[in-house]
Amino acid sequence: MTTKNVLSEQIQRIYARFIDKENLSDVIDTREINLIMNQSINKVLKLQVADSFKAGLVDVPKCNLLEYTCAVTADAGNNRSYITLPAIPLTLPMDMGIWSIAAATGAMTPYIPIPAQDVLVFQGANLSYLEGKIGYYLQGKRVYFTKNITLTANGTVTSVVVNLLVMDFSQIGDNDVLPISPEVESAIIDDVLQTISNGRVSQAELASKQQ
Amino acid sequence: MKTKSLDVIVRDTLLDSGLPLHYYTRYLHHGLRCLDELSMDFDMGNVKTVVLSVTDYRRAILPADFVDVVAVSGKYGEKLLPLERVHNLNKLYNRDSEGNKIPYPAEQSVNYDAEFNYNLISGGATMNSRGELIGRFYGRQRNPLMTYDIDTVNSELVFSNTMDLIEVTLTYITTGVSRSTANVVTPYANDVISKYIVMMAAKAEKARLGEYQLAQQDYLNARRIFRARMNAMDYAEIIALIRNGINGALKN
Repeated sequence: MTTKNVLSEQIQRIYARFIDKENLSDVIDTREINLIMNQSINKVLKLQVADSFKAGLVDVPKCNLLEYTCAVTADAGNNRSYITLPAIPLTLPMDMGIWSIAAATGAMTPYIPIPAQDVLVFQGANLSYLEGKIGYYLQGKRVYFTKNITLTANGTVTSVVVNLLVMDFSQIGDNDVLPISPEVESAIIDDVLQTISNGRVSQAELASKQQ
Repeated sequence: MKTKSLDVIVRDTLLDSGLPLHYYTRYLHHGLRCLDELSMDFDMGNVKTVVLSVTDYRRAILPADFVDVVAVSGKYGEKLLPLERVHNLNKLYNRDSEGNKIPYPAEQSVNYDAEFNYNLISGGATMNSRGELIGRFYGRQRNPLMTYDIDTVNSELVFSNTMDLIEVTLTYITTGVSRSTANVVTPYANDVISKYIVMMAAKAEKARLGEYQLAQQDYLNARRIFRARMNAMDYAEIIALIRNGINGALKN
């Protein structure tokens, strides 16, 4: 188990010891490391999912899912409703970055995900009825529901629980357990070090270049 | 009566394929297509019976969800006696001088040329112009009186002038897929729909060479089993068929 602090301190130590051997006291700001680490985790996450897809396993690492509660807004004119995503999830086939959306009191009966490219196509087809169930689809920063779920007939839902596949450091405390698989920790450290060392040279190299 | 919902069949198939809920709509689409197709050949709860009134111009308006006819019958006690379908009834409206729709006149009042009339009725060149039989009249064609046909242009049943019922009972096929309630099917259809979904998914996802063919073979086998189950025949039915096929004949 690791935390943001544990990882960033480890990166700082490695950076100070190995990247610039002649300047051991030169450490990078933790805030900068956290920023890069967040981006790096999302990159590694995407690769991890892509690898499993390539192997024929259509799945996402569940420990990386972040749970949000979002307020539902009615779009009565279009007989639908929507939520605004608190974070943009990874782009995956069939919009799997949004892993699940369910009413706050209906965790085991999630709404039906509809790939965004299908939703305009199936209007008028038998599929559009969705066997009486309520579906959702992604459009920009919003997720729209196929019915106005704030209405009594559709459950009077005012907030939903959303599980997104994304790393969002704003949701995680410095000493909270970081929701990443242990096997990707080293890949993240390597990737962050690679990024922060880009374009950096040692004092000796700099001196020789100046001569 | 025990039924299985299409929703459950789709979820079962997702489990079989190890896929998450994100594939639900694609799989449901295939399932609906399969159900729609099966309902054209099998009674998937889409065979309905209604009583229709016959208009004074010998027609009856078909229901809006009509796809094809199973039987048009008249009531006879507790039974329904089927009318015979003929394809030579005139589908064009007949109108009086004021434009009102009226039935066509009875055949007897038509004053055709004798040869044309006789030969048309008897179904071949068996009469001369004087109405004399010239031979080769092998078997007289019957002239059924209680007949109907379907006017697809005006969505109506057309009856012969001699059909004097004021009500008929129509048994018809409608579409098998509902868009207002969740679809349910006989448990017999579970496997065939599931295999169809897998086959179509393999096709849509551009499966490797041979995978689609295997899925197709699975589907065809499941369809054969489904067809056999839906048309099961027991000993009593076979005996009844044989008995119904045996009739008395004139002794020579």
